[in-house]
Amino acid sequence: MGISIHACDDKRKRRLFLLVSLFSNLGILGFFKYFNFFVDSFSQSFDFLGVNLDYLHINIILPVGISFYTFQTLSYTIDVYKGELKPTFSFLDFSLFVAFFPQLVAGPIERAKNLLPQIRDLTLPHKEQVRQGVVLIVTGMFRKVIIGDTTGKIVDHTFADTSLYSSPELLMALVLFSLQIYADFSGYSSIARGTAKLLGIELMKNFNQPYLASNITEFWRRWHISLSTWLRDYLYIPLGGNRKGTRRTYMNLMITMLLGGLWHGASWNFVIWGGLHGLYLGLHKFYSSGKKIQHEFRFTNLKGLMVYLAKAFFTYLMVLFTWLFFRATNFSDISHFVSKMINWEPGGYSGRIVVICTIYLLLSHSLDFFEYYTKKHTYILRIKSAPIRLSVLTYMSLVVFIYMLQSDPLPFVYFQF
Amino acid sequence: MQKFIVNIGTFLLSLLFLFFLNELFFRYAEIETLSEFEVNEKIGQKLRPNLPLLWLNEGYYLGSTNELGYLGPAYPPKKEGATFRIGLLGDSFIAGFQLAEKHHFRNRLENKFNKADQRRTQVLNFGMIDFNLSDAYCYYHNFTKQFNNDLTLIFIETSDLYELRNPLRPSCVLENGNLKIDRSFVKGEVYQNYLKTEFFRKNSAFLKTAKQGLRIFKNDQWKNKIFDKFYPGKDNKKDTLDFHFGDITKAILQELGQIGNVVIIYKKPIPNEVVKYIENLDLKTIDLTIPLKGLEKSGIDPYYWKATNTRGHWNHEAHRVISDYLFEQLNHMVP
Repeated sequence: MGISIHACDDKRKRRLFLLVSLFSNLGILGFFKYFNFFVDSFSQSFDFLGVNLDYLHINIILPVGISFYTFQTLSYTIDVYKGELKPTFSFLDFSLFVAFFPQLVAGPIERAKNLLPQIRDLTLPHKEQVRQGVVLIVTGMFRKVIIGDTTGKIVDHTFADTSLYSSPELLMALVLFSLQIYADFSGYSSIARGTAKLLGIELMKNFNQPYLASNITEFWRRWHISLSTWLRDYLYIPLGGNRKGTRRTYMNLMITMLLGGLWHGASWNFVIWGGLHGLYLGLHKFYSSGKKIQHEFRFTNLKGLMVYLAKAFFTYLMVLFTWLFFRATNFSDISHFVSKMINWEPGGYSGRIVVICTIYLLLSHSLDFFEYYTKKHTYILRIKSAPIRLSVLTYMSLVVFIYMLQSDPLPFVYFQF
Repeated sequence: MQKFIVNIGTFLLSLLFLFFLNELFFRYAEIETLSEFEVNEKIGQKLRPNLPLLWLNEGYYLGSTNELGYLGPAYPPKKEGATFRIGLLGDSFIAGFQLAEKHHFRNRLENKFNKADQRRTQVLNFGMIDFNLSDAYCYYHNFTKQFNNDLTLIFIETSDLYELRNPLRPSCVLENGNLKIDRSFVKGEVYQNYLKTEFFRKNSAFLKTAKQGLRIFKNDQWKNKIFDKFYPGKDNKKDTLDFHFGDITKAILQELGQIGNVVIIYKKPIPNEVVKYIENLDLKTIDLTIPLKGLEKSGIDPYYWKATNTRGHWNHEAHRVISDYLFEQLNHMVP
């Protein structure tokens, strides 16, 4: 389809080809991921009229990573349509672009203009790439296994039935989930980037210390970057972005975030999650109109540091609340959770719960701080002393290996998307 | 050469420092808790007092042992006034490291008695992992007897009746037909090794993780972990022992019968010959398979854990029906 679009001079025909590509890609995604969701939602809506649509529900096995490679394929076609990319004539190159195994199942959602030229001119990795690749794999595994899996086990148990737990336990589970999803997904992205580097390919950064962000707009510039930039370039801007007046800007923002939420999974929970982020972004846009959003954590004195910390904490709290909708599997769990937050039900061991959360937050933020300070995800390579560098890598590898040996691994959270 | 030695030294020191930090992280984030046992020359393995515990298995337990080294509230050996005491003895099903203390049948049972009766009732959980009948008997004499329980419930299933010895616990032996508690485990190699490594066992959470990892490595289970479904694996089914109703077991049951306030609780079906033997001893029994089967009939698997999608120990529902059933049955026995 890309070749046809590129070869065609007729605007209408090009548009037609684009629409065929969009509908076929989104149609496949829609069928596999959203068919049952819409059937079930309609079925519930028509239930009171006595109309039963349950027979339309089919058991579908969701192809792994379908959301990721569908978006990747769409970016290719749209870029060719916009004239920003020349199509590839090699089916093999195109197949590798779509199904490049390190990032096939959970991203980063690569742009064709970044990945295709690298595939076309594939060379052996150079020494620095190998060094960086190994470090990214080790640090990614460390995040995934030592933070993601260890927190994930507590989270899974608590969210299996929220009615069984006290308020502090529920709050701990939510805080730990915020760390789990970050460690799990950013860990995977690091492993994917590291593996790609060992194959001589550079993938984009997917995370950039999101929990250090001091406002929600900045958070979205640092969280799941490959998706947020995709949504910006292929949805928000084509919808008109901020060029069609204030009201349209807020509407576009909300549509983008709602669809971004729905992208994660066929459930109203994700829609609400996206909607909340849309609301936050809208509010932030409203209050900060005209001001430039900071990309760095700048402060020159103690007061500045305190202001930054307060803002970062507030941003984290707002994001934390949205994770409830992301993690809970049904509205009854959400309702139990919210009700226990309002009618605080103290349980034992609150002190230990605070310590557990603090230790995890400290570790996660320390790793983020190293990344931020060195401006590299491969911060270990910035350690000047070779024996210390090697000992950090040895330590991380050994701890991961030992923990993995004695514990059952948890699947990557984003594999389900 | 000198540079090489400095580099090696720096590497090792730095590695040591990182593992020290890791130890703090594992311990305070409670990724692994310190060893829950200590070994006492009289009692053998027992729970360490005041030890915070976080267990993640098929279930999830966040709790701690009490200051007296058992589970639940710390009721001291001396009873107050007309308090009625029930002691629970049994294996990991009784210890219940799969769910919070408030959901454990111990707590539910105690609450039920206290709601229904003017008299104060205390239920003490002496459950220990891998406890068989012989272990329970020794533990009763060596530790739990001092708590002056009015009723002692000993939970058993067929596997608890095999006469197997744990190298870190006393065991029962027959001497001239008399039942004796044998504490020769203190001379054994396992106990001597324990003494040598006691400090690390008691103070390092990460070494506990490493030890478990090493055990998996030695048992060749690591291939399963690494290669997952691509590794066919060995048939890990244990050879099931043919049940033999041994003389020591019979003697233990006789002794328990003579104590007078012991109730045998069947966790799972027990061989008929044992059931008949116990009936002849006038030992009171309660069969938990009845409420558990009832639960199964209502469509709830008492061993199923949703969070991990596995079967294992009793789940929350099972603990609920067990407390209801025990309350109902014990009400007839309580004076």
